[in-house]
Amino acid sequence: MAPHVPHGIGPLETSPGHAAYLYDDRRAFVTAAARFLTAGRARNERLVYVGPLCEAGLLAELDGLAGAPELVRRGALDVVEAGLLYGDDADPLERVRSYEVLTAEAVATGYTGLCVAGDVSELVRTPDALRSFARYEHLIDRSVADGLPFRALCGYDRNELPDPSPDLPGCLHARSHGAPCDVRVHAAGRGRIAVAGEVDSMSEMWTAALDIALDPGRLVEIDGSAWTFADHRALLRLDDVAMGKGSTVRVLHASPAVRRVAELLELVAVEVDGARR
Amino acid sequence: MSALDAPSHHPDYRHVALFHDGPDELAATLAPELGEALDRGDAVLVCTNEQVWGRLAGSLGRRADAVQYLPDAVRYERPTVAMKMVHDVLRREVARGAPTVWSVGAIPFDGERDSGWVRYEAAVDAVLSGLPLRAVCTYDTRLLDTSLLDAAARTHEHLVDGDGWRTSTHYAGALGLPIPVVDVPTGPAIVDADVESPAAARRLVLGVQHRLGRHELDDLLLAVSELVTNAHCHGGPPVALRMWIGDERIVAEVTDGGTGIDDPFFELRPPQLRDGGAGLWIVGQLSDALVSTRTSAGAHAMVLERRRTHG
Repeated sequence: MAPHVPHGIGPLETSPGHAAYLYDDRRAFVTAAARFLTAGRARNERLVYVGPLCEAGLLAELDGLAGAPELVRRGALDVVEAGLLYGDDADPLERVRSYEVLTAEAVATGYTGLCVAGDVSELVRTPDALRSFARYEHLIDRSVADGLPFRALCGYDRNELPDPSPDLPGCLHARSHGAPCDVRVHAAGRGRIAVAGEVDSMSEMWTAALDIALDPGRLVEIDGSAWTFADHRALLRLDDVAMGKGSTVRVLHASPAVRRVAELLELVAVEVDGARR
Repeated sequence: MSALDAPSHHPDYRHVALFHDGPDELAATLAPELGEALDRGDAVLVCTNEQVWGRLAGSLGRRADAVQYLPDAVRYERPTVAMKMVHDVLRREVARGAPTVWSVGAIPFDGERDSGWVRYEAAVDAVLSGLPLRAVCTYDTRLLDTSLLDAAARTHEHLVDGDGWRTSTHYAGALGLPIPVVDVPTGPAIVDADVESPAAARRLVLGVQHRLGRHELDDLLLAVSELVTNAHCHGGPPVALRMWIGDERIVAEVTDGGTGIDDPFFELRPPQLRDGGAGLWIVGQLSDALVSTRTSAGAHAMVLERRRTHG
């Protein structure tokens, strides 16, 4: 077995795909967002910067992105107040659709894709709002995994995230900064989800993350190739969530460690490939 | 109810020791009754060596096709595995409508692990007597030491031999059996640290992975993680892990601040027949021995022993 691999650590600002940035100091996120957008500009992506201020305030703080006012004038950068962009009660799927439309428009006008850096802290101040936004995050993660030319850095004020799920955003991204997650649940493409890392009885976000990521009433395939450990409660909780949603789960490419636990349990709604029953 | 109290007996439950002087007598004693059971729709599981099974199958004729046969080496890999298998078959066959499930077995006593198997026999009543089970444990009087035959008379309420059926006058059930012991090595431990979480304990096991085989590593990661989780949930701090890796066996000890475990057969009782989690049962499946004991300093300790297979 490989030694413990800390997932999601690396240069987020230049990485492809979709990442979370949990911060204590908002200025640190703004600096990271400027780098992220600068890298997007270099890739000829259309840029979007989202935050909790008015347009002028957001543009003023984005001095790390060279020529930001000029980019706005040329239509290469949109600067948007978070509440105006997302609304309070937007359906997660509608949010995804609107970004897919924006991405398609960007590509149609000569850009290579859409690059969004957004501080969404004010949209997730209650547990319900966090769950709804997390579902949107997971759904857009699926689109990205399926090839949507969309990159996003999602900023969260760690101190404003509601209990009992303050680490949920980090756990639902394949890559994140400031979110020390042992396990990550994210999209893997073609409708699959991926579980990466280790899950045990003390993994508080596991059930919440599964609740966000598992679709109801269907067969859900989990890519388990980076899932290095599960204790028995981890698999029983997966079984419970799947049953509660009327779904069945099939774990593909399971590690020997995960297969071993599955062999010892009587799982109802979860099948682990390669486990002897 | 303490775990030592016998659970309510199912009217069809019997735990029988059958003494015989070889496969011919075993088949002659057992085949008529098994044949009737199969005709009634009972499920029959036989776990013996091939020779005994061949002789018994010959006596059963075509009805042998309805018997589930498992080689003794598979069924009796270790006591916890043997208990899981019989319980799995019981639940499956009862769900399919079998009125009673027969389990005919021959424990492969080897002189090294015999005390664990005697303990297993003593636990069968305590664990399974609420279920419609006829457990027939066969003892070859030509091959087995007298002490094992005496132990069988203590752990089985019913005995059968050439003279017929009788109730054992020496039956003691689960009472009076010695508490199992794992010898904790006296030499320095390769791992010796306080552990704040199961993840921290797994890091320590991974730190000595170069000394472990692939299956040993996977099983120990799971077992130690479950033990540490259990220690934190039920025993409380301080929780510490010590491990010794020798040529013949691996020993892992997890100490906690708790008082220990009431159930004397905690590692043998399947999750469906117990209160609480399945963590210790899982550890039992992965260990050759698992005991709840105390260190010389008085702390509660769970100690697992895993024998090493070479080649």
